[in-house]
Amino acid sequence: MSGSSDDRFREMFYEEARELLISLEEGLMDLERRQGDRAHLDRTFRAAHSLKGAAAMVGLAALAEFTHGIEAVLDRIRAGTMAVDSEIITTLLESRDHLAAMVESESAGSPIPASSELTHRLQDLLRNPGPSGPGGGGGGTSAPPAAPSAPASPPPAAPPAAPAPPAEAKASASKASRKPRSPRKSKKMAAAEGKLAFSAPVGDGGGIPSYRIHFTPGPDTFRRGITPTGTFEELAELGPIRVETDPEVVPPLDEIDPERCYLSWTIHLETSADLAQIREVFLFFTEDSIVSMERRDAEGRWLVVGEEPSASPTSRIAAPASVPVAAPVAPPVVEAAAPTQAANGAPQSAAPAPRTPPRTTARIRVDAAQLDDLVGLAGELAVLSDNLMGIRELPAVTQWLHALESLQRVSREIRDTTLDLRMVPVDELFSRFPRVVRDLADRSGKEIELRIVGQETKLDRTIVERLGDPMVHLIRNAVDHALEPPAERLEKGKPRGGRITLSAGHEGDRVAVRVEDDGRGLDRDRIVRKGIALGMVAPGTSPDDPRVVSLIFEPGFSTRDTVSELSGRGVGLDVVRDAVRALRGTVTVESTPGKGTAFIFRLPLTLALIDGLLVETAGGKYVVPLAQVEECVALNGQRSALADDRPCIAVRGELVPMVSLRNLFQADGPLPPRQELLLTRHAGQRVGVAVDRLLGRVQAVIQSLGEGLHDVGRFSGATILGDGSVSLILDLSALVSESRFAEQSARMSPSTGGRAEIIR
Amino acid sequence: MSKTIVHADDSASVRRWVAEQLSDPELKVISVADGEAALSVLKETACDLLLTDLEMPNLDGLGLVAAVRDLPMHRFLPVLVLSSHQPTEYDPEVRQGITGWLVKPIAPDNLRRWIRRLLPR
Repeated sequence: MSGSSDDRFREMFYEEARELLISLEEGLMDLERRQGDRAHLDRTFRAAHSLKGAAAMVGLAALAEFTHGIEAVLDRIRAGTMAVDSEIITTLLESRDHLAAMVESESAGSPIPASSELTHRLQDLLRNPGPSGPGGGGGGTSAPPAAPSAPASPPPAAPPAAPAPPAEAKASASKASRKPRSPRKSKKMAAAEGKLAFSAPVGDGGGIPSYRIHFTPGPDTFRRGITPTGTFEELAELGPIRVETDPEVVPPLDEIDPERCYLSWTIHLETSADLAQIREVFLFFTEDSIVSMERRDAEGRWLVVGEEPSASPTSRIAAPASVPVAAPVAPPVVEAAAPTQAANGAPQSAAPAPRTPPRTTARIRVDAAQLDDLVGLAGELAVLSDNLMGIRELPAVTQWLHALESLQRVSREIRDTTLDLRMVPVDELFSRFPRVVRDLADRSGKEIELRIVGQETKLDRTIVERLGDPMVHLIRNAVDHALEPPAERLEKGKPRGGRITLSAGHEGDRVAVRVEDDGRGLDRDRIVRKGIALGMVAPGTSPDDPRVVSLIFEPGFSTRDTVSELSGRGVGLDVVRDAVRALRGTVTVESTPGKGTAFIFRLPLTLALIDGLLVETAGGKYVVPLAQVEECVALNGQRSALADDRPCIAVRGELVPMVSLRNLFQADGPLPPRQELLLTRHAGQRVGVAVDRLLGRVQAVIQSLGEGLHDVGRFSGATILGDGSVSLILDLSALVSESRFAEQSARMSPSTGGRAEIIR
Repeated sequence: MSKTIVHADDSASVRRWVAEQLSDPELKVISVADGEAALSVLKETACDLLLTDLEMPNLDGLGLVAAVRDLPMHRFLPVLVLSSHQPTEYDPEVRQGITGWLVKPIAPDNLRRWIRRLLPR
């Protein structure tokens, strides 16, 4: 209907809408706490406003209209005629969620209508100004700045497709009624759906050929950037024209104000164009100019046509001619939002600090898949140029040496820069959680404070995207089960409100993301009892055994009925572990009874690159992620012993279960005189993987395996080696599981060691 | 002689839409995301027309218009407001310096028509 409904803009709109919805949500979340923070309120309002405008422009009227309800409430808050309370925030947040659902459904091609329930609630808010609103019960009409949107807010959205424009037109009409300009739109303009603010009133009129028009532009016309001559040219297009003016009104040269328009004109025009068309020519002048039209009737008399447009009422442009242009408008002061611990400030809502110079670096959007391709190619380029360095030794190459070295340097820089492109601040993830925690706290009746630390830490985009669900899982567990109700906390001498801390930071070449609570802590006694009952640990295992807490990540361990017994820990935690493993990360848990629990994800900086060990077995070369290898020891012809029917080998006196890659791959051929053992950790237990030879360290760019190979668990990808050959990347953890070692590992005697840790 | 139009709007889809409507070899459209960026462009660039949104971060549309009028080179620059606000929501003094006002959603024909009129030949 209105604007362009072109799909090209739609796609762009959806993307933009998602960002605006995030800003809107963050803004709403903080609205209560940051009352009086004008800049914050402005940002929040603007998110709704921009969304409305953009939706209208791409022809999504239902969306625009629903957004208008949210915007109107925010506008009232901004105008100071409505006080923020949590009920208002809840309504706004729910409306935002519905709006998000509308956007997503629209983009998926099956639009859902606006929620009439929420529309009603938003309208109710507008009708009843908050407690501190100016005592006007007068149906909200008394609030001057916000009035236009309030009474004329959209109809109860019964027909969801009801276009927004009528509401706006009504708003302006009611407001414009101060000015006696009745028929606002010409027929043509109404048809074009352009709503011209300064449009001339239109009288009824036929098409009598001869007109006489008196035209007195306002004194500030030039200062508004308009030249009257354009008007004459346009009139001339309608028919023969004669223009007269009285130059006498122009003052002598030494008194003249060159920026002022002194002249007025009389225009004789013969045209069959209708009055509306003639009026439209003057559309730039209706604000402060006088345009009067006469038409000659059959007897040759001049009759005034239409309303005397703006002669008195509208031409009272308050400023006298000498007023400096645009003086009343002061540039708004942009306050820097106080930096807070809580995560706020998604990229676009980041508080504009005063010291920040005007941004000169622009951002562009790229397709994520293209970026991934680029990362792969850049990695390949680096490998190829490394490979090329091999010819350096040839005497014939001497003169190209410099070029070769430059090539290598540049390729590496390209690779590193490209990898950086995939990194996003973890804030994109963390900023979701204040809302999650608020909702959960609301529902559970607990008081919870959320602290966020290190949200600027950067991580691979994919990791940030996929870490959301595991974190929500942990947070929900913490709120539902780990944190005590206020009364119980006070009894234990803890602060009333529970605290959840999300933090991110670097640990060597990994990033650690922690989800911590100060709740009850894990109940080790119960975990160990459950573990024994399920046959996961040997009877008599001490609750202090470091492997005990890691049991909560085991799939079989988490059953619904363990919820209360274990403070909810263990519910679906295997899902969390699997998700983190899939990101080549680890999850560990640290817990002190009565003090709290911390889950720690340790994640690679990037998923595109791994540091690996190049190994050889039975003639094949494989890459093993370095992160999975704790240690390498040589097997000097040592024989494996059998313990519990499984091959084991003594490493510095400790009996370690062993998996032979040769056996696993069913490779024949002569055994090398000396094998190597890669020690990895599986379910808290050390396991050795025997390979033929260690070839060295490599930094590998991971290429994913084709669709058909996804089920091959033992390989997590492939990479191109320096000599151009392709090598598979081994997943030691999957290998160990595959060798059926995992099930029985629990029966092994406990090893010594620190925390329980799961490394894939 | 090609004309330069500066367009300020914090909505990328609106920027794109306007740029698309104005795609014409004779027109060069510089799209920026806020008032401050528009102002810095205008300080260094000859410009024939400014299109601006009102609600924008850093410097809003009205602030931009006021600042532009203070630049000697742009004292007479035509300024077209593209906003979902109605002009009647603002006092006439505040609207000073604004040449014209189009309320979103904007009909493409209408936008082009205004622009034709406002660009000096």
